Amino acid sequence: MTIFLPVAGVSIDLFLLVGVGALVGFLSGLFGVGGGFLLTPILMMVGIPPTVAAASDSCQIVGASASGAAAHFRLGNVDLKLGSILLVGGLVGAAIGVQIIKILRSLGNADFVIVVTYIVVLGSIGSYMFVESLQSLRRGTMTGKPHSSAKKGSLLAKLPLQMSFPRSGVQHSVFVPFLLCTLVGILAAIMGVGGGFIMVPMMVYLLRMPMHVAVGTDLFQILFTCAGVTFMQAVTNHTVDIVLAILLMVGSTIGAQIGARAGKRLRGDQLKILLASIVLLVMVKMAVGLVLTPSSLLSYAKGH
Amino acid sequence: MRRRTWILMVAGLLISSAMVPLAVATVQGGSPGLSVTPAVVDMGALYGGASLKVEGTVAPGAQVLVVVRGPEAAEAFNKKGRFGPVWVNVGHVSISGVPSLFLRYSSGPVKDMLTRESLNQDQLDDAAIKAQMVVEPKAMDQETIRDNYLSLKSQQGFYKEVEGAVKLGTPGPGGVPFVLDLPWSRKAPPALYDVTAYECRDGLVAAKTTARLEVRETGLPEKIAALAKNRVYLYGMLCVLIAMAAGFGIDFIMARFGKRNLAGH
Repeated sequence: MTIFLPVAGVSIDLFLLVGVGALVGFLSGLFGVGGGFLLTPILMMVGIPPTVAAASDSCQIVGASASGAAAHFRLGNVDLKLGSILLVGGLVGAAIGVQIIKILRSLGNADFVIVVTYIVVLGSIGSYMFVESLQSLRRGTMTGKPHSSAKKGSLLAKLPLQMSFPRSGVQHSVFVPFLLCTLVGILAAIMGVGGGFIMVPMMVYLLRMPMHVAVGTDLFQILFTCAGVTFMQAVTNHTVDIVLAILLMVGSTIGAQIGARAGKRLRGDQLKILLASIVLLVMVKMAVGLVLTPSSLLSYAKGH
Repeated sequence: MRRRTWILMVAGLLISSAMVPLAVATVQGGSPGLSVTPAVVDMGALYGGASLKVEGTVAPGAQVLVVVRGPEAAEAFNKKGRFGPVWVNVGHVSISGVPSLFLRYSSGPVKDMLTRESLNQDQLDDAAIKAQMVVEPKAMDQETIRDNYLSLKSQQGFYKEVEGAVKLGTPGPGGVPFVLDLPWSRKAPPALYDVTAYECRDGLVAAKTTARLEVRETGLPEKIAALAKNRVYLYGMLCVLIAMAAGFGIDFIMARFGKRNLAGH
């Protein structure tokens, strides 16, 4: 059964879109990642123009993250206090990142910088998570290292505005999550994604948050970040296809719920190693794509 | 006298109006008759392409070429090049002077039907299109870009050449009928397309006729596209609100009616 997408201007199989949405939604609920880094390339592969794929993806992430965040909120996995700081930091970082992209584009090959950033970031995070989780699994320990805050006497502990985050069981200076999230926001803007796949590992490894709380809190901040992106894309680029977004959402919101449930059956280490594998796969695919001779030396500049 | 004049005037008008269709038929007699069914393709909510039928008649002994052309418009591309071991965008290219879509169907091998000059004159194959392609900036490797443009369009299914797809019927008093069953790609964008039938004889185009094919958005897709283009703030707000409502709505349904086995966490 085919359906015509009014903004994308293409006709596509309805069940294919719902299926793609369900797969990505499942990962979203399982890992707390928005799924943008997976969904946009898949949509492009099935024939959606890249600009419409990216913008509509943001729109569907709003739905998927709303569903996932609500499910995690009921489970007590959303740290609203920390999530609010992360959200502000992420928005500041995104604004800086957009300016960096503008400068890169005016200088010339921004695309190359974007792809290389992807490969470096995905490769680093994926490898670290994979090795660490594998060691942890071999040791037979449960969900990773015990949570701890910045050690007394350390540089982080000496920073001003120390704040306790009971839901996450950590204590940090407000500047730590804010600056980390600003950095992630910059990377996310350069890479054109929500940034969940960078944010969750950051929260787990640097902020020492429990995996499940990191996932829930990340979905909370993704919800608001992507709502802003969707609105801006609709207003400035007219590239949000609501029909496409709704179909993806139907699949992804259900997938997110199933993912959130599946996540409860897995240990933190298992979740981490699965996420690391996906991150590494995407990284390898991008690296191979960069080296292989393209089928055509031309690609549409405006994504059609 | 006055009555006679009136009678003569009315008779003259009747005769002239009867002559008009005869004149048109005479013109059509020299060109292949052509009809495209349906002439308008509506892209509704459940649009998945269409089946078109192109029919007409040609003089006995002629071969037929049917070409569908999309509107010409400048298209912008990124050009990839090698940077060390990797492929990156190395510049921007604008291509114009060629149809956005070019589908050619023939009743036989085109090399036996038309000479190179005839193909070039009516731009009836890739080589002819390549020759008229305008590539900017001029400093780019023109030949490579032209080849890659054709290859990209071919991969998308927007440039295609099929031999033997046009079926010739039994000659009758009006000529030889031909028919082409044309599967219209769902990927082709809304636009006005030209469908041209060429009557080929002795290596030349003896006659040609063009009909219009309109592919347009209708119904809900048309309304949504208009809203997205013309009322951007309202559309943006609606997108966000619909997405949030869908997310929370499904969560509510799942929480209320789904199996609740999450409490154990």
